[in-house]
Parts: sequence; C-alpha cells; structure tokens
Amino acid sequence: MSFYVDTAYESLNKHNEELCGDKIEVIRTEDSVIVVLADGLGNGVKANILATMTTKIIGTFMINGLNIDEAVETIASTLPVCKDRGIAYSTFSILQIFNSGEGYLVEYDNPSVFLLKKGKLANFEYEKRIISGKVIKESRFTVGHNDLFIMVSDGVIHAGIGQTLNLGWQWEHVSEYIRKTNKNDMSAKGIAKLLISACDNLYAHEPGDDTTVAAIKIKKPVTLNIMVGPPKDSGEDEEFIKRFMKREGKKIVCGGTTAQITARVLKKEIVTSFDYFNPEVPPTAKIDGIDLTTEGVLTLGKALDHIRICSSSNSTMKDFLDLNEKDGASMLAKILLEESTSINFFVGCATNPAHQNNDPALSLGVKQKMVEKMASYLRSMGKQAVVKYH
Amino acid sequence: MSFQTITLKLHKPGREKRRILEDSMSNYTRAFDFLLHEASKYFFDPEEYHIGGKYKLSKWVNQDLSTRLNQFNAEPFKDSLKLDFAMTFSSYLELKSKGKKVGFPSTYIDSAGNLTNLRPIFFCRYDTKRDYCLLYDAKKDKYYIKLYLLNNRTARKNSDEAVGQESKLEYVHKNMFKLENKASKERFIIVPLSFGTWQEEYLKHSLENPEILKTARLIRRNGDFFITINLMLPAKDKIETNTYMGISRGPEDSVNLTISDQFGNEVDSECINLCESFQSSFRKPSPELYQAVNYIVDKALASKSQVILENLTEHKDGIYAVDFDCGKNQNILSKPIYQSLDRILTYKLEYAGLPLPVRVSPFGIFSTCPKCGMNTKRNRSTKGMFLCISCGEAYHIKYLGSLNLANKLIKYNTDDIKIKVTKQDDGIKLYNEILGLNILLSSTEDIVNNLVQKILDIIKDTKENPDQMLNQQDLKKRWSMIQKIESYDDFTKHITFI
Repeated sequence: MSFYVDTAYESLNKHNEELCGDKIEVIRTEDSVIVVLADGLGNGVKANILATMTTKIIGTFMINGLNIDEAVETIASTLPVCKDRGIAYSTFSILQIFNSGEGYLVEYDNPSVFLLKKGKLANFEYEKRIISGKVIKESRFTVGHNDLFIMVSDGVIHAGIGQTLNLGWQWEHVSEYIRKTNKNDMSAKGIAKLLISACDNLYAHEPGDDTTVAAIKIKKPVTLNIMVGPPKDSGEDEEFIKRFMKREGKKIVCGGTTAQITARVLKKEIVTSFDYFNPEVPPTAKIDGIDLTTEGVLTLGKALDHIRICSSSNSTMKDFLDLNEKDGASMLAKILLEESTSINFFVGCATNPAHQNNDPALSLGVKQKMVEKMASYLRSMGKQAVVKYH
Repeated sequence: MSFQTITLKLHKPGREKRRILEDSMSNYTRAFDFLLHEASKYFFDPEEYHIGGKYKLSKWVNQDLSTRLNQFNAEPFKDSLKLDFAMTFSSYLELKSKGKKVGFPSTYIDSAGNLTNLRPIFFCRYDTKRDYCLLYDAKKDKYYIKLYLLNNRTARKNSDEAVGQESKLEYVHKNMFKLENKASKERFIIVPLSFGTWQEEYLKHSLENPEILKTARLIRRNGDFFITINLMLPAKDKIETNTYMGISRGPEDSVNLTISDQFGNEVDSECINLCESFQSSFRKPSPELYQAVNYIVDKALASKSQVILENLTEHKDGIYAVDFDCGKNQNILSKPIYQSLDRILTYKLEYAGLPLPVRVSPFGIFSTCPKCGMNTKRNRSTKGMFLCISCGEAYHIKYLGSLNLANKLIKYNTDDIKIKVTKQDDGIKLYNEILGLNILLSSTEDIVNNLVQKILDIIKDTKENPDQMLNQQDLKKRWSMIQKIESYDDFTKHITFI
C-alpha cells in the first residue's frame, strides 16, 4: 500500500511566556516518518531546554535505529536537574510510521494519542514497560489510508481551566471534537490549526499552559499536474498536451491561451463561468477531462498569496476557511495545500503578447518566479514539488 | 408617541363622598348591564359592524336607549357609557366573526337583581366641565381630582363657608385658572389624591403639558377608590443607534443580553434573572419584569443600541434545558414571559426615543457560529459550551443566542442582494426568488439597466397589488427586500451576481 504521511503541528505559548515548553521534532528518513512531542517540566526557558533536549535525543536514536530503552536511559542521565524542583523531567510521545505501513507508538506521561480510523475513534493496544523507573507504553499497529493521529500536550486537555471550562476540555471531549471535525479532504495542517484555535478560544486567548497539537494523516498519494503557459515552440503544442493528459493524477490548466490550446488539441469545448466570486480573481472555466481551468497570472498570484499565508506560523483558522471560497485562486490553493501530495509544474516558455512591454511586471520571469515560490512553499510543507520548463 | 397609565388613590374621602362614589359605580354598572341586556335582544350584522365597529356601535345606543339610561342616574357619564359599551361589544363581535368560541359579555347582575361586581366608571375625556379633571394646590403641592358623578337631581351645594372664598385650587389646564366656589348646586365632587414618587413625576409633567391627560377609570379595590389615568406622552427626540443589542431566552428563567458593535464584535454581555416573573401569571407582568425592562432600556440608551428580539410567534429557537449546565433551576424562560417582555420593551423603547425593537427569526441562534456562520448542532460541545467545528471559536451557549441575534441585523444590512445568473441558449437569465425576478436578456441588451428597470417595476407592482402574493410569508420577505433596496442611494452597488 503506498501512502503519504502528512504532518503538521501548532503550538501556543503559556500566557506571558516567550518560549514554549513543548517541542515537536519531525524527521523523514528513507523508510519512515518520525514525530516526537516532548513537554518540559515547568514553563519558559527551562522547559524549552528540557523539551528540546528530549526531542533531539530521541530523534537521533530513532534515526540510527537504536531502541527506545537506550533513548530513555540517555534522557534520564542527560537532562539538567531543575534547582527548584530537584528533578529533571520531560514527557514525550513518539510516533513512527514506516513506509511498509507499520506503525510504532511510545508514550511517557503525555496524554494518550488520539486515533481515528475511517472516521471513527479507535484505541491502541498498549504494552507497558518500566525503563529507568519510568512507565513507558508501547504500541505496534498497521496504518491505513485516512488514518489520523493527533498527539497533544496536556495544555490541550486542560484548555479552558480558569476561563471557560471548570474542569478543562478533558480527553474524552477532545476526542469527540476531533471525530466531529475530521474530514477526509482536510490536511494535517488544517486539523492542527483548528485544534489549536479551539484551545486558544477556550483559554480566552490567555493559555494557562504551553499547548501543542501535532497531526499526522495517512493519505493516498495524490499527484497534481499543473500546466502554466503553452510551450515555447507552438509546433510542440499537440505533443505537449497529449503527454500532459497521459500523466497520472489530477490536471489543472492555468491561463486563457493555454486553455484554448488544450481545448483545441483535445477537441473539447471551453465552457466559461459567469461567476465572479471574488472581483480580483477572473472566473474559472470547464474543459472536459481537466479538473480545474483558471486564468493565468492574476489567479496564480492570488493562489500564491494563499499558500504563503497558510504555510506561515502566523496563519489563522480564517486563512484556511478562505480556501473554501469558490474563486479560481482559492480552489487552486486548496488543491495544492490540502489535497495533493506531489505536484508537477509544467511551465510553458511561450511569451504572452498581451503581457509585452506595457507592464514589465507581467513578463515570463514573473510567472516563473511565482511557480518557483509556490513549489518552495509546498516543499517546506513536506510535499514533493517539481518544476519543468518547456 | 407612547401611552402610560398611572394609578392614583382617592385619599380618605368622607362618608358622604364615599356614598356618592359607591352609588355612582352601582348606577354605572347597572346602566352598562342594561345596555348589554338590550344588545342581547338585537341582531348585529357582522359585515355592518366589521369596519368602524366602535363608532357604529356607539351610535346603536340611540335616543330612546339614551333616555332610558336616565333611570340609572347615568346622565353624568352617558357619552362614556356608550363608548365603554362599544369597545366591549366590538371585541366580542370581532372574535365571533372570526369563528372563535366566545361567550356573550358577562352580566353584573344576578338572577335576584343584585350586583355581583362593580364595573369601573370610564371617563372618556379630560374636561374641566364634565367627566374628570385634576386640580392643583401650588402652595401645598397637592393634587385633587374633580369627578362629575351627579346629575341635576342629585347635585349638591358647596358648604356656606366655602362660597365666595377664593379657592386655593387651580385647574391642571393650559390656562391654569382657579376653581370657583359657587353658591349653586354642583354635579361634581373633589377628592384629594395620594400617590408615589413615580406617579408624581408624571403629574408634574402634566402641569406643564395638560394635553397629555386623556381617558380615566374610577375603580374600587379592597374598599378604597382609585383613579387610573391614561397619559399620551410625546415621543422623545429620536436617537441614532450605533450598536446592536440581542436579547435571547436563557436558562434559570433568565434573558441574556449581548451588545455588539457595527462589526459584530461583542462589547458587553449580561444575564438578567426573571425568576420572580415566572411565579406570577404571565397575563399580568410582575413588577420584577418591569424593573428588568427598565434596566434594559437604560442600558440600550447608554450604549445607543438597536434592540433585536426573538420572533417566537412564527419560529422556534431550538433551545432546551438539557443544553445548559446549570444548577437546580433548569427552566428555560417561558415564551409567554418573553413575549410580555417584548410588549413592554416596545413602548418603553419608543418613549425613550430609541427605535422599535426588530424581531428576527431565532432559528439556529444557539447552533450557529457567530464568527464563520457554520450552523450545526455538532457545534455544541460540553453542556453549556459551544465549540465551532469549522473554525474553533468557543462561546458559552447562554450568550450565544443573544450574540447571534445582535449580529443578525448586521448581516442583513451588509448582505448584498443576490441575483442568480445562468447562461441559456438564447441569452442570460437573471433570477431572484424573493423579488419574483425572472428575466431573460439577450447578450446584446444592457443587463444592468434592464435589471434596474425590472426591479423598479416589481416594486411598483407589489405596492399597487400586494395581494398578488400567494402567502403572507413570501409577501413579508419581499417587503423586507424592497425596504432594503429603497434604503440605498444606489442599489446597483449592493447587487451580487451568483
């Protein structure tokens, strides 16, 4: 079974703290994806150091295939002892998903990881061991498409204490909320963002503790092929289009001329929409066999804005909800961010006579820069993005 | 303009005056009963009395009947009696014409001819020479009532000492002239009044504006006599509002109040408990309910708020006790109490110079996210907590309803008029169900101008032929949209094509 491991995480610092006492480490190796969450004792700098050391130690051990026992022993002997409390302490959770479809989970003193299988809450079968005096829970399992794992620090479980909820959010209610909100087409980033937003609101924007959410989603690989502009040599149009259509995965065409050439080669009609959902974004069109047909530069520019904002750590829930708008740029950005796991950009080098001279901004170089930037953002989010020029 | 009723007590009338008051009430009651008795023998054509019913009914008391009323010494209050009868009987006829099960108005006399009850005497006008008026002693700051209750036969003389002496009392009248103590027999009695500070404010207002004094009723309660006076108060200067106040039902017999600014941001929230009102009959609002309304009006004045209420007549708000995490009292404020609050709030807001409350459908106010608009019951998290499954916003459920109410008007005012556009073989179709807009334009025609003209035609047609609509609901929606269109300087700027 081939799959893609979509990972994302979000954190809130305790109110008035500059550093978060939780730490997340995501490591992609040749044969697995490893996610480590650690919650250092206390808050602020000390907690951040404890958590960082814990994730780094565990990460290093996991990359090198060493077992958890040694990692725990190393942590116990390495972490600095707090002068006030007299102990060196950090919780941790480790999730490792192998390319083979096997999964391995280790938990120490963190809230139990949430698991959704086919939209329903599921339980792990744990085995408990004592390592260096610590009760460690381990679980081994098999993953399936659309499985969702959510790792949280205790700031999530206690969200709302002293503000909106007397007893905090509580594990059962968090799991119920995850079950209600999960959708197959939602990305890990979207899920993590939604949960942290809920925590922030329950804390009335003054978190009582460091709060971290890591979402790991097992997705079917979805390849997206985007054609931006026709090839430089118009004689190659037909061959280019036909090769494009043979590619596996979804197909998007950006640009009016490109769409016309595509429709001509495929002998299909272009059906233009009258819908101006956003006055700044030209309407989309429909070509039979193409998943989305948009205008060119303006739509690409707006889509790039969406991607830049959503991939930023300052993004809000509203930025993700804006992806559900019906204009061409939002639809393009949504497919890129939420649905695709690998993206192939086919950038045609033909110049558009309409973009000549009058406005230097509308030149081939700008289109290329947009695509390159887009690909860069997508890679930073763990997706495969390849740009080819014709 | 608003109406206010104040009740004043007739302060310790002497034995003679008590007798006059009691006899007058008995006479009035018997005279009223006589009219009912006569009416029971007459057929009133519903069609004939449907329009202008009260006027026509008062005219039914013809010369003959009017003369026969004299047997009850009813001369002082004949005009009032006719009007009182007409008001009572027209209500009965109206209900009967609508097919409602309604009994004939009750008689006040039993089979033995004894009075079972006393009907309050209705005074249909404020007048210095008939019915009733007020007198004022400026030196002692005291008020008196002058009641015309006697006819020529029963008129009484002033005491010898009073005749010729200058009266200390002035009429509460635009000319404020003094009462004359004449030697001749008078058909009225004058009784001092007692009242509280709240009533006194209105009496002082009447000294400067006597035109506010309108009709009155003389009633007897627990052996004492009272006069209830209806005042017509002028409207205060209209206040421009810049915030919105939603008032929704809540748990523990409360109403919840949220004030939001023009952008939908919450400015203030409060819970007002109406427990005591729950105990009393909803037909007669308790003092606690009035106090709560006064508090709300003061708050609306201070924040210059447009008040928005739930329209529970046609819709449900979908809130139940199980939705809240309360203590022992899980009762949701009852619909009748809320509607009583609505009624009282309406005239008090108008009197205060604020706009009338807007009533909106409460559908979904307890399950819709105020931030992103997601409406689903899955948004309800733990008891008493709302957690949006789309954007993660969190609210206490009890304040959610009032916040959504406050924001409904903002949404309505800022929402564009949506015109659906579909391309057809022979042109472009423009459609809006609420307006009844359905036009097909060829691609060569000027879309915007044609659309504007068509909308104006629809508005004109609706005003001229309102009955063309199939049902009231659709007509209401169309009127609402027409008002919205007419409120814009250029409504084309507020059209969205979808």
